[in-house]
Amino acid sequence: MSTIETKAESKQDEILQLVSFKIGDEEFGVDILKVQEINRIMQITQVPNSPEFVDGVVNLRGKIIPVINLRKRLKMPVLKHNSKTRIIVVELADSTVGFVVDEVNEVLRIPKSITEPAPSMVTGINTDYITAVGKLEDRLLILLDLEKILSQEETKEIETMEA
Amino acid sequence: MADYSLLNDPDMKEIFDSFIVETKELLDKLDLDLVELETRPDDTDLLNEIFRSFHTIKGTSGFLGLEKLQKVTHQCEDLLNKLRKGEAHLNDIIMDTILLSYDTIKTLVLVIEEEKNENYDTTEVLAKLTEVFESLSGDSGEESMEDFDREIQERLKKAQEEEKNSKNVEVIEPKELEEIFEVELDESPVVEENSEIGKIEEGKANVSKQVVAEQKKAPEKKVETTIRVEVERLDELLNIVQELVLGRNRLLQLNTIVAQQYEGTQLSRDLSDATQQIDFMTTELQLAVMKTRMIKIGKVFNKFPRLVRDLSKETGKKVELIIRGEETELDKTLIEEINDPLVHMIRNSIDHGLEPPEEREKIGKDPVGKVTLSAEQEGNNVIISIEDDGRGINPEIILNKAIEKGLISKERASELSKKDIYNLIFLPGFSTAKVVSNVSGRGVGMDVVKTNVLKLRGVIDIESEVGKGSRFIIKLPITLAIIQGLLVKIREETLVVPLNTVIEVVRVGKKEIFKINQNDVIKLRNVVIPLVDLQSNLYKDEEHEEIIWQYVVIVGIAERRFGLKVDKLIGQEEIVIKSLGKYLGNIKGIAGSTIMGDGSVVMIADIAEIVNELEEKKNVD
Repeated sequence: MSTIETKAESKQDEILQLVSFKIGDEEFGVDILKVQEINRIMQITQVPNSPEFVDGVVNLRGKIIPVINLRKRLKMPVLKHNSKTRIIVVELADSTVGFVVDEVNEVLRIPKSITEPAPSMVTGINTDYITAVGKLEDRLLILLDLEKILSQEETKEIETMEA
Repeated sequence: MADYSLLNDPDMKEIFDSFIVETKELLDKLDLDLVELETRPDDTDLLNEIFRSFHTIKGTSGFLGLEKLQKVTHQCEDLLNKLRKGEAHLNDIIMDTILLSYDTIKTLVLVIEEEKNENYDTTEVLAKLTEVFESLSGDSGEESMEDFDREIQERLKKAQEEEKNSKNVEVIEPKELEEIFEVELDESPVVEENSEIGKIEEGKANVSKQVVAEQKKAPEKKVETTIRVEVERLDELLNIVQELVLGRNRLLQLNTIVAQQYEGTQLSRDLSDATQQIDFMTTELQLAVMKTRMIKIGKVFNKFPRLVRDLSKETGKKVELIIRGEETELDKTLIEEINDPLVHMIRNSIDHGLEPPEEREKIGKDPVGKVTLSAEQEGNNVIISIEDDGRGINPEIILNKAIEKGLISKERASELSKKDIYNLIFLPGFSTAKVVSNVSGRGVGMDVVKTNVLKLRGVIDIESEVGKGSRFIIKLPITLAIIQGLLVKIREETLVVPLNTVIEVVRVGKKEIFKINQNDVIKLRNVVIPLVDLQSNLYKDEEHEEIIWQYVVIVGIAERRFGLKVDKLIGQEEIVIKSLGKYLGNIKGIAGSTIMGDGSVVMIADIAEIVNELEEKKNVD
């Protein structure tokens, strides 16, 4: 890591600060400025008739926020919640939303120069959510745009529900 | 081009804002007054009132450099002055012109508010105003002067009556008063502008000061007892109170636990006293805050005389609008949301309900149709009804139409009661008008009305008799934020059923549940009630446990009854409704959520929506 950072600073490159988390074997990163907090799993109340990938809602200090299961959203097999499961609470344009992930790893600082647009075959996910892929020394990091994750198919789904 | 820099000047912001608020208030009042004027064209008080409103708008707009607004109001003022002085008599042309100008002013004010300029064409209105004004300049006969005299005498009579009523004032013979009055008038030949009333009053003042004060000034001398508060602040206050209610609920829960564990100790007694006090005060506070948000429904109703007037011109039907209960209060949010549905229903009543005058006369009805709009409070609900004495709703026509449009199958149609048939009107895509008119009958409408009413957690009901008229009844909760709820359990999930829909709760044995057309029903006091399976409808969970006893919550949606199958009953609680947020938005069958005393989130069922959805599904099958 340190080598990357020094390289970055000498180049005066833009630094990305990310929170990285895991779903299955894949590691993802989201912009740290969007993340409000990270919580252990709490009691989730089911919301009937909500989109399939919405696990329900939780009480976040008196505020009710929806919780989205990223596994379901990314069409991966569902995993039972365990002690490592976390809810990443994210502040999006006009709402606060929680995302359920398998586990949260660390806070990363990576220079923008080591990221590149995702090759379309990199994952099974619709590549629109993926802003870039970060090439770390030993692994790859998929950078997600959470706003897009919510806004695309999901709007369609809600529309069809109403119809 | 006029200079609108004043409007954008930050120093002027406050003045500008209050100008907009005041002008809008004046316009609201004018709306009502103008329609009133049409029915009482000789009412000088009213004319003066209207004149003053225009005058005020003219004054302030001039100050802010709003040239167009000033010009239009000024010309209106001129025109009204003629009426006021009795130099002209109100006729349709004048009335239409004034109303047209009123509409222009209204739009202009909106433009000013939003764009901070006057980009709206007023030349046409101005031309019209000038034309009408000039056409009037010629005649000013004795006739109108006579009217004026009569008017004054009438006013005098009123004054005398009031005088007699108040014992403190010495009684003066009518003749005497008239004489003095006439003398005064002669001295100041017919009056100019605003001083008119003043002069007349002076005359009377010589006779008896009290009479004048009571009769003339009473409406204006109202001491200011209100202040303007930003809605945001009220919302904030409400939020805090809601949090407080949640905290109170939690305290109540803890108190119960302590009472059980430390039964009989001083601690538990003290805690219970303290809890009770907090409980009581919270409820009081909540009520007080709710009250600050209440607005008289008259604010909405008062827009309708004008609407009815325009509609009656458009359709050629004569309509008398009767408004009752405009004092009834409703939460602000409800007031805002209820306007559109009401507009639509009034349109419907006039367009579809009332017959044309000739037809009415033929069947021996008063050619003037009556539309009654009323509001009254009933417990925690407000009942708004729109009634007409028109042709009523013919169930057969509705039914045929619905079958023809494929909204309902023939087999299903034969099962429907009269109530069910009326309810078909609310289905999307239903419109019975043979000719699509300008007013209603676009096929959107009643379904939107119903959706809006449901959104406000209200219910809508129809009563009708062919040939006699129809009545649409909307029942709304007084407030949106806090409701009484019945907590039930369905498998692991707790659910709130709003108590206003609950009629009773029964427990039935498994053998008492019958099947009709594959639907579960129970027989309760000889009435067959269909059951709704919330578990499979809401939670898509089809695995049912074997049970011997089944709890059934009987709910009423308008006149219909349904039974909700639930696994457990928990109890009744005061519930603060929280929205599910923008992201989840409106979810079918769910009215919102709430946080319980223990911090868990619980869904609030929207019974009307659940039932309606089931019905719609059935109708199509």
